[in-house]
Amino acid sequence: MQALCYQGVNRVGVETVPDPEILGPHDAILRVTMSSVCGSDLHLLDGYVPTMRQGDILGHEFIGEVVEVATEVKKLRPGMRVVVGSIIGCGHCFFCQTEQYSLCDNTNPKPEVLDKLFGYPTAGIYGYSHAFGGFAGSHATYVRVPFADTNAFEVPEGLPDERVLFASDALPTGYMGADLCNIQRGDVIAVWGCGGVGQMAIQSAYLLGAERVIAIDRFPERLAMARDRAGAEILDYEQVDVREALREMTGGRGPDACIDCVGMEAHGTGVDYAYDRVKQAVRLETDRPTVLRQAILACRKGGTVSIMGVYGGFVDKFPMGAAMNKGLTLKMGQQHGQRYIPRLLEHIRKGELDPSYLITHRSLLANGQMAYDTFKEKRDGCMRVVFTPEA
Amino acid sequence: MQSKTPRLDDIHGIPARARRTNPLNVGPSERVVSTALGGGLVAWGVWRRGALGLLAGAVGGALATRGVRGHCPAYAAFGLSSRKAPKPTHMPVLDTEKLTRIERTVTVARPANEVYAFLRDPAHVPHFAPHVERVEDLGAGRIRVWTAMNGERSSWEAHIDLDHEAQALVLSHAEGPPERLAILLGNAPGGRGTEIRLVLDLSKTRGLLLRALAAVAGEDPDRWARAGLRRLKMLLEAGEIVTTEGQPSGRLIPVTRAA
Ligand SMILES: NC(=O)c1ccc[n+]([C@@H]2O[C@H](COP(=O)([O-])OP(=O)(O)OC[C@H]3O[C@@H](n4cnc5c(N)ncnc54)[C@H](O)[C@@H]3O)[C@@H](O)[C@H]2O)c1
Ligand SMILES: [Zn+2]
Ligand SMILES: [Zn+2]
Repeated sequence: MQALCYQGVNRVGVETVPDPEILGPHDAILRVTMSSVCGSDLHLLDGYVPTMRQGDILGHEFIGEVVEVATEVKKLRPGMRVVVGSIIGCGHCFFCQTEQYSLCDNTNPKPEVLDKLFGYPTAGIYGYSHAFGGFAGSHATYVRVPFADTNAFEVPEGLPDERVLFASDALPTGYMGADLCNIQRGDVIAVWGCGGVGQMAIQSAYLLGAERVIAIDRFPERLAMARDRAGAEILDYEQVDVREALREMTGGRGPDACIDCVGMEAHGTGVDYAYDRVKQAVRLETDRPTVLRQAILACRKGGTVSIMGVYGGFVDKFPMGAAMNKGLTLKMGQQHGQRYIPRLLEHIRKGELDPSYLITHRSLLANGQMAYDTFKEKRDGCMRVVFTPEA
Repeated sequence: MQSKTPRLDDIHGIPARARRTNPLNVGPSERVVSTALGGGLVAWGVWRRGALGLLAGAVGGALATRGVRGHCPAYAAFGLSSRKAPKPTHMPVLDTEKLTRIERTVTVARPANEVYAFLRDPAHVPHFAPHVERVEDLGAGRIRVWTAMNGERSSWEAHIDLDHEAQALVLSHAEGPPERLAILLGNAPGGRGTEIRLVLDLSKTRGLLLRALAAVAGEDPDRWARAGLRRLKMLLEAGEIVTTEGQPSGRLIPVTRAA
């Protein structure tokens, strides 16, 4: 089959590789009908996650058709159309049983790295480096889904791939970002980053009862989408002082909750940004927490900062004093997709959510390099490029 | 055959690797005095030179080290301490012979009786214990274990004690140093399943069990223990040991040669 593989920092390429086979009794094999790029891939491609190996198949946000199931798979049958959560759960450990699937104990076959780095290893993720299990990703004709009954969800009849694809990753991530804010009546939510995750966080915040949502980015097309498609008020951080603007827009209170949908490669305008870039370039610091710092300072006293943007290692100049003295609640994590996907499919079916507008570009795997370059540079109004893998 | 009754009481407690090798036993004010005095002596020694200077340097160095570290080897030897702190709970020591102890614990979200039933079936062992190919029940509390490592096959016999009440399994040898491999089960609080504790007591003088284990645990029995427990947990909870071995990638496929 054809697969889009990591070939080195910011280099990808299509290779002909063997088809995946059933390796465990709970596996299913899917024919991938759509697979999307994601902001997380950029952290991998930029070389900030050191356990990528040349030849690893990329991709973790996908939808497809079941072609084969192993002996112990009970719910899925060949022919079913399914959307798959990007992070793999076993369904049985303490964490899966308490719906914290991304913390699963049993799906990372290479736990040593994270055990050292994080204290305890977390779940396996498709196409997301060997620290996270080294699972082959979905930018390929076929993909293997472990513990398929737990991780794959049947697509309700009549819904096209375009509308359901992002229920794999961007949508549950944004939804979880809003869910962690414990939104109350009258709450104003600020969302940093208007990428796929940010767009979904805005819509989810409204679904969960937010009064107003203010979205922050610098790309005009993305800000326009946040306003027109998701209904947010928008701030261009290159035009305004974000903290001042947020304070004024919230009657001097500050947003009740702040959602970081940017993560470790935040872009910035101040001296601290220059400082972080230098330190990150020489690896004295692994992550640039520009957005995180801003969110903590902008958040109202006693508010919540919800972190969905990915961080991988260490940050500098973390405003702990502000967080502590203001009594903030910090919530974060990789998404627990399996907890949210059923209710999200229901929202999509009822027409309350339609993430398909995130697809601004389509590509064959063969043009993978161009696809990732366009996505990385946000050229040509690119929000997400979706691959339709060739056979 | 006389059985080595498993004494489980000395297997409980805090694992060795979690204990500080040089616990604090010098009080805070004494540390300051010791450091200052030591530093002064070293300075004087440098100024004085000669044999007396050397001696002052050595004594001063020792005092300063003891002050900075907060650990005094002399105090330790006599079981003294100038720290006002509660005495740590007594840690049992195995006295008969110097044994290396390796301990690892994992929590499995299954009830203890189920875990125990699974473990006591010899047919299950090769599924999770790395490099173990087969375990045969010879009856009368004896088992034979077949192992394979790097293409090398061997087998060894051990005595097995099953303690139903304490839900413990203990492997040991009738001859040689008192080595053992013990698996102890305990209930995790709040119905969270079973804490499975693996304790290896291995003789530094290479007793029989160590030699047998070395065949499978290689040079790193701790790694073997961790891998084994992790696999056991996956099997019991998820019903399979998750793997990426054999999945596609854009790397060249290595030619596998017969060993
Ligand atoms: N937690 C999870 O499970 C999970 C899942 C998917 C993605 N993510 C993470 O979410 C983040 C966003 O993903 P995406 O796919 O939307 O990425 P994306 O690259 O499409 O979007 C990121 C956006 O952040 C904006 N941005 C950069 N610096 C900013 C700043 N200082 N202030 C405001 N906005 C800024 C960029 O302009 C861009 O529009 C990434 O870090 C990704 O790794 C996390
Ligand atoms: Zn993602
Ligand atoms: Zn799990």
